[in-house]
Amino acid sequence: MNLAGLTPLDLAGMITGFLFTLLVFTYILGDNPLFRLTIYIFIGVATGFAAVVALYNVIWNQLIMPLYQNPGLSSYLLVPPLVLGIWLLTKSSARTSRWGNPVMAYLVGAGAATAIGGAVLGTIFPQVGSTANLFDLRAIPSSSSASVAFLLRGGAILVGTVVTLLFFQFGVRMGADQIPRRPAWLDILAKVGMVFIAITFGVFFAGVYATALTALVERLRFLLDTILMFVPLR
Amino acid sequence: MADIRCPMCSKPNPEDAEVCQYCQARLKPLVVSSASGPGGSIPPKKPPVSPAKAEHDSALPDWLDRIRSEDENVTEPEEAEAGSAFQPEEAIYGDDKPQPVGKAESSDLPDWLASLGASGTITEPPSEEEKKPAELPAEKNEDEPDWLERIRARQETEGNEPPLGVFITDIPSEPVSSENTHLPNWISSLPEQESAPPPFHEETPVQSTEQPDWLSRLDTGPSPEPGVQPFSNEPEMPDWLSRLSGQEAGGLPEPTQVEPLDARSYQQQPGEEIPDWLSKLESSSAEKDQLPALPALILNDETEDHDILKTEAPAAEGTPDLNALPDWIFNVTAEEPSAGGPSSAEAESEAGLEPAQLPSWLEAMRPIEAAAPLVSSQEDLSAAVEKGGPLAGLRGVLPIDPNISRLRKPSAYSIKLQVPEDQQALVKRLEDLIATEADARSQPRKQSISSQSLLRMFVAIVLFLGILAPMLYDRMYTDQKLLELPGVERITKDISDTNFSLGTLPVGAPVLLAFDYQPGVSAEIEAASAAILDQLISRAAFLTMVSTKPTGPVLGERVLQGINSKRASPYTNYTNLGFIPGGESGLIGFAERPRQVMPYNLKSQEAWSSGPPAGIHKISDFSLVLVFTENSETARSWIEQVQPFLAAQKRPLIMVVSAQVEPLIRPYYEANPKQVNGMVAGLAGGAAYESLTGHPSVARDYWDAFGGGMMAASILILAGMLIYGGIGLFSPVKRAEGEAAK
Repeated sequence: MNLAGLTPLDLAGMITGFLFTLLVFTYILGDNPLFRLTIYIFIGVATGFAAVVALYNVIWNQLIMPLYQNPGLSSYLLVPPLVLGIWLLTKSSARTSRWGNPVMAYLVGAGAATAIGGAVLGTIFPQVGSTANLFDLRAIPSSSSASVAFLLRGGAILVGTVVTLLFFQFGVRMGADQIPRRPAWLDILAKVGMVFIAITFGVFFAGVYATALTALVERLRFLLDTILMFVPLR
Repeated sequence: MADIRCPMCSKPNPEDAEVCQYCQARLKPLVVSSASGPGGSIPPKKPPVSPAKAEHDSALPDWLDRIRSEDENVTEPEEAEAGSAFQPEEAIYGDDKPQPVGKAESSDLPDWLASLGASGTITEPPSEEEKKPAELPAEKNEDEPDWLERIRARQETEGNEPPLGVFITDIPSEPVSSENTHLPNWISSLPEQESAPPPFHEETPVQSTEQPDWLSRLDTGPSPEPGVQPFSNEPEMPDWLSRLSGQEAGGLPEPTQVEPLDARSYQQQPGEEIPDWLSKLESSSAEKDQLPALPALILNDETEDHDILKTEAPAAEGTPDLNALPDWIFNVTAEEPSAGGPSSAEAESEAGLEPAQLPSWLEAMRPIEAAAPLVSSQEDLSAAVEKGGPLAGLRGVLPIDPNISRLRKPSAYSIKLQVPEDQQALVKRLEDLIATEADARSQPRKQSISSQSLLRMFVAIVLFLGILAPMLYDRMYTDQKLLELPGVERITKDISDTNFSLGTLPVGAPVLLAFDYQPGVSAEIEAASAAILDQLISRAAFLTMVSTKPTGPVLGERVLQGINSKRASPYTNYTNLGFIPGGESGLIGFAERPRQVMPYNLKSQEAWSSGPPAGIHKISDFSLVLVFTENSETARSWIEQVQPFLAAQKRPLIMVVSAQVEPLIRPYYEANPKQVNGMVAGLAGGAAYESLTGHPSVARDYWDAFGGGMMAASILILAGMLIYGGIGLFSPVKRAEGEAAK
């Protein structure tokens, strides 16, 4: 990347990005007004951009343009969404808010039906079946080592799932010393489940750190490249 | 037609109405006969008898009925004359000059009563015109008691004031009628109210020839005119009335000293209980040449002259002085009080007298002191006269407690809340808190550099060094790399499956790209997807970009621009359909009908009219669907809503996800049957894919710095474990707690 290949708009964008990146890095020193300024600008730009996309990409391209350019039979299917969209504007006022309840009810009902159907048919049924198939003897590899690994893998998944759920069982009984505590066997299994949970949390942490590290690497690379553009190394 | 205003309730009534529609008061007084004297009874006007009225009249006592029947026999011309001459309005709002009774019309009052109240005083000598005897009814009622007849006869002959009017001093000289507001209501409403009690006796039959005590006393005065039956034989006249009659006949002298009548004196007569108001009326002087305008009974302590027993005009000669004390008062001697009522001796003193039975309503009017027998003695007579109140003029009432009667200003009690000291201290503390609430507190000076800020800066420096060092090394030594990309042995099955799916694509196949990630993770997603996009472009796939996020289309354009910036010629074999609204509902709609949901691209051009998109009618027409996301919910939505449509046509669904959601999406990849056919997670997955394809890209550029950052983080975590673990083990506090536990 060199200055000669940059347009003025690209150059302005690069400089703006460079400055805002530095402002965000000032959080290392603690919360400060510069960091807050950057956050406020980010929120405002994101909101404005979303509004522009909604107006241009949705209302204009998907609702008005089809009715205007192709006023055919298929366009009449857009009339109900247009009417309902205007009807939904009544929700903007407290006095007329009740009038928009039917439209909201339709939206909520349609969304709930879609979500519930997808969760049941797309997640619950396939995942339950897949879990059961872990011990499908017909799928065991022929080799002994592979079969052992296959069974161990299934067993580990099964045990890990069970002990993880047992960890969250907090039913206690009154002991001989009048101190409520869980049964010993449940306590042991809960500790094993706690190990699985800790491993899971560790995996999550590693993934989050990797994502954040990648973003940091990219930003530092950008800063370095910008500096080197103006101050080459050699 | 002008309305007549009712004198009682002041409500308008039709002109021709006889009685008020609201209060049943008489609007037009009865016609007064020409024979009525100054104190004569006002001949009642014959009212039209209506069925309701007839029923009303049937419930009246017999004596009242007899009186009314007498009135009905009054000649019509006289009634008409009287009726036309009298206007209710005039009676109320007309001249205030007192008018003789005889000239006015009255309601259905008995003659004796009407004659009493007509003048207000019996001392006024009746004029010649007023001396017209009261016209007797055409038909004499046989049931009329003889005493009443005698009274009427005497009125006719003498033309005197009705003897029975002595005690009525509060009645003005205006004609007695129901419209006269000066009359007590019980008098004016006598003939009209069903519940109006009989004047004196309610139970004693009028047919009895026995003269009541009060009437016989009235007879003790001048001898009655011949033909006039003395009153002594009247059975039902109360004692007080008889006395008044006697006084009237005898021409009571002008009282020189106004003494209030002792209510007890009236009780001395057997069965005769004079109401207090009557006693007051009797003692007041009423003999005047002219009928004075007597004031109404003022029951007010502030009234100076509230002694109603005082007389204002001398009694006319020959006329009974209603305001004068009767003689019998002075003859009253003190008697021992008895609980039962009048003593038997008093009863014996009056021969032929029967104890009068006052009606309940009259009994209730008496003051308690009058009902309860008190010790009568001369001392009571000389006792102080009550100056004010309803008992004004009476003597010997129960003395008021000096402390009560002593008028003094009520003591002022402080309404200030008495707050104890401890409560006052709390109040003051609360007030101080409120007062200082608005004051700006001086903030404690913050330490410019704290341990937390030092630790934060230290970690940042370490990370920056771990990242920048490899970068600078790469800039300085472009041919050498610090870290190598993951080898083939480290390539996982998900990456190889992804490579397999992309490798089996036909050339120019339509591929759907979903850029559903936030701009903050664009670095990681771009690093993970760079090699995949390069592979797609190398296979000349037609790229169709969509997004369920508003920022997705712009990110897609950014990715393509980055790719084109490295190419000699820009890649244009793509279309950007833009943002799919509606979330999951919009996603499933696009999966079923992509042309209807997204008819135009981001440049407002028809997206499905030409080129590879022309053959696409449903989502399964795409050869491959590639989803770039960092959100597990977004990935799950694509899997649940779109994957069933792809699975039907065995189209692969590839996920390029961030490293933080890889554990959540992996179950979908490892499911059997697979719901995700391939997955590339994070920078490491992108680096592995680049290593697999042999085309280093963005991931290669970040790999060294990424490795340095990972190394720095690992060192920091390890150092932290050692430091804080050792501190925890060898901390004095921990040691003390451990020893205490032991």
